[in-house]
Amino acid sequence: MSLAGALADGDGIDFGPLPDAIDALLQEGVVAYRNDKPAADRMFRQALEAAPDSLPVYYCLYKIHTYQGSLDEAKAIAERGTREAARQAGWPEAWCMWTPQDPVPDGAGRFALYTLKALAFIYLRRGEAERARAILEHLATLDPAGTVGWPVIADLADGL
Amino acid sequence: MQIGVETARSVENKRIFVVVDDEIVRAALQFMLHDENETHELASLDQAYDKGCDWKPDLVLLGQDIVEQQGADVLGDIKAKLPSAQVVLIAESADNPTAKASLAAGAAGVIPKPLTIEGVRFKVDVVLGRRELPMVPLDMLK
Repeated sequence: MSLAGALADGDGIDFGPLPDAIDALLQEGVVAYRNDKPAADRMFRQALEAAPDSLPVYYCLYKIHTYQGSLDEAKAIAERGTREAARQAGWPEAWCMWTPQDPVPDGAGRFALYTLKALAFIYLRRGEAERARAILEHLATLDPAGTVGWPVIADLADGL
Repeated sequence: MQIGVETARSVENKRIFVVVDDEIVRAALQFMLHDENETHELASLDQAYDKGCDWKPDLVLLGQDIVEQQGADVLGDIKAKLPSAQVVLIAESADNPTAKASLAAGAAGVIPKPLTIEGVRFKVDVVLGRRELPMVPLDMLK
């Protein structure tokens, strides 16, 4: 089966409901990332330019830049993704103004929490431990059960 | 701190072999997992056994096609040749006969398609002892 056919069959990552063209760019970027990281970056950025309200695009971009140690890029994209998710969730732009919800939200709100966790990890990688801890302390109030996985990052911070 | 999980266990690096014959599925799993795990893509069990001589895996993510080709007894072969590893089946669905046969033959779990980021990471973390929390669906990061 061709790459295009396999991707169309849904054997890649299920990013949730996305426009077909955006989903295709993300799937192709995921495959390209193994052997051609600049190509993956181009595909993800093309997707972001075309659909800045598609939250999984931010995930793909900050993830690959975090992997590659491009931490300024990763931080900028994660911050932008956090703001966009907050906007879609109807929350304040500043994460420190977010308030706990019961239950922990799905959808854009959950993406906001998930990306905030990623931002804490990026701050740790940048050597900004205090900023990371501030986020983690707030995540502990927003998601007490740790469903977005922030406790793993808290463990890392505690180990520094 | 993560509830019910020791610090060292939750952050310890683990080695995962992704043994799936479909390149797209291997790429997807690698993309989802390799930031928190040492993840190796392998197209066959023979490659996994060879690599496992020097690089002991903690987890094998095994494609359903391989079980269908070799039978559920292959789970026993993997346990014998890669004794450090648990096996999780990458299945077309959670309730298909191959998934059930694999669980009966010793698989630690099943990850059904479609492969979602949070679903895959959660299952892997649970099997590796990093998480004991209930799963909450992540619509936006399916």
